[in-house]
Amino acid sequence: MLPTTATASAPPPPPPPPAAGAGASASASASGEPHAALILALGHMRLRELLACARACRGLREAVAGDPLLWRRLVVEPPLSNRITDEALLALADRARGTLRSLHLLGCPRVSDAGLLRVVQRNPGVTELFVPKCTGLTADGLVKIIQFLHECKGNLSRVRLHGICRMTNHHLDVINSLICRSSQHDAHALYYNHRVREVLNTDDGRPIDVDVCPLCRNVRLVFDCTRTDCREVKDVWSRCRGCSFCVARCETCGGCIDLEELGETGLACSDFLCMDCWLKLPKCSTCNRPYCERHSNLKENLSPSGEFTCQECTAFATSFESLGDGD
Amino acid sequence: MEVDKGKGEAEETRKVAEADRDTVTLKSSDGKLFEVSKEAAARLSTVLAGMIAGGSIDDNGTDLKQIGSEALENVVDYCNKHANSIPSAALISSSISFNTAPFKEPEEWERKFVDRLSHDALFDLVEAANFLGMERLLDVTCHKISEMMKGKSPDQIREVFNIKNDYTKEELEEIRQELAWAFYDD
Repeated sequence: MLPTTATASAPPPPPPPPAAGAGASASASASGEPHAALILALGHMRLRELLACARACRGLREAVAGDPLLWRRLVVEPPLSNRITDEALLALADRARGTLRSLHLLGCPRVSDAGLLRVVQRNPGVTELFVPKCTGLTADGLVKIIQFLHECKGNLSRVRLHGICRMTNHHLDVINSLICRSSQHDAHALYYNHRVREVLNTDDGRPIDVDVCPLCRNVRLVFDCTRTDCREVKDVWSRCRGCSFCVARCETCGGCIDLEELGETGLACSDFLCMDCWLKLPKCSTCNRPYCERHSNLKENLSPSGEFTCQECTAFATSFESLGDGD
Repeated sequence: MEVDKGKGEAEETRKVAEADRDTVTLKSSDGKLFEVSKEAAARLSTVLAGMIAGGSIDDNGTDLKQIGSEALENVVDYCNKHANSIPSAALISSSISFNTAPFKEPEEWERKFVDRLSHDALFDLVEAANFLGMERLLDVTCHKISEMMKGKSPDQIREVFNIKNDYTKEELEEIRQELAWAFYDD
């Protein structure tokens, strides 16, 4: 490999000169320096990995700290969510040197209104603000923050706010009026999916994730029904459009489940399934209850043919045995 | 390898012949030749597209001095596989996506493609993809590296990626304090 300077697309901060070995074996094994490819890969790493890399050696630390482009998009997700504090968030956001565009705080309970306000004050160009389930934030505080971004002539176009306490219709109206809407704002249907709860991040095109539930009038994620016949008949559609508290939804297909059905489709885990999806799944050999797809890893004593016992039945059997041993 | 027809031949005819061919020949740093479909090369690599449009493609093998034969073989392999795969847009056209990253998850064949590579081969491929301006290949390979890092401690990263710890004790302490919030338990 000939050392050359004329690369087509300039990589982020030039790494220490790559080991100029011959041919394919130009790995950094001899020098112990990080391979140039690692520096290119930094842009694809999640926050936790990025920080771990920075701790590995000087070269990587400089590459991580020296490139504001790596920090334009800051996603704090579990397991870091529970740990990040106002100070730590500010320090991370400052690495973008004012160019932060997309801030995702997914369930970060220790971030406060004041802390988030300081971050946006230093980064008024934020266009995406995702703070679902950040229980340390308040609806009033968020309105203030979004107001600030609006006054800065920012271009805030997408927010994710579900799981923020005491959000009222009034808050939602104000926020709605402050958000830049792209010209083609089409009301997508939002379908229930367990991943919404797990990832805490509905990353579709809509400007605001929450809405007023037509049934309970609270500001929450409001799901449409996936069943076409539910949506086609107008009356029924409006009845089964609602938040997850008002309408039980199938974990697998996202369709509504009525109460009668719910009584018959018992699961070994705590989720809900509609009858159609329930019938298709393999059941526990003792209690005849299935696990939903999400919890299928909890199956015990799984035989090659697919027979299994659920955790509850296994626990019951073992406790019974140990009782017998004790006598 | 074809003997070159002599530079005396009219440039015009050569250009025409070139435009008719539907493959381009690439030459690695160690002189090996690889053929790849012109359409795929132009679609997947901005640099090759530029070279094809600019007419700087050499019939006898366009010199890519920065890329070793092993990496170039992988690049060509990727281009060929990509040409055969189902267009990706059709697969993931659902109106809702729950991705946290802006980048589309690698498809099954892409995953298999990078999984079989050794560390060195993967690293070389990253550099080759960067050099050739192959955005998707760069995404897929870098994604693989970031997956390899997932959940690893700095010590493990050093071990896996063969990096020497060049920090002084004081620096380590400084970093520990700076990132105590994130790593206090390891």
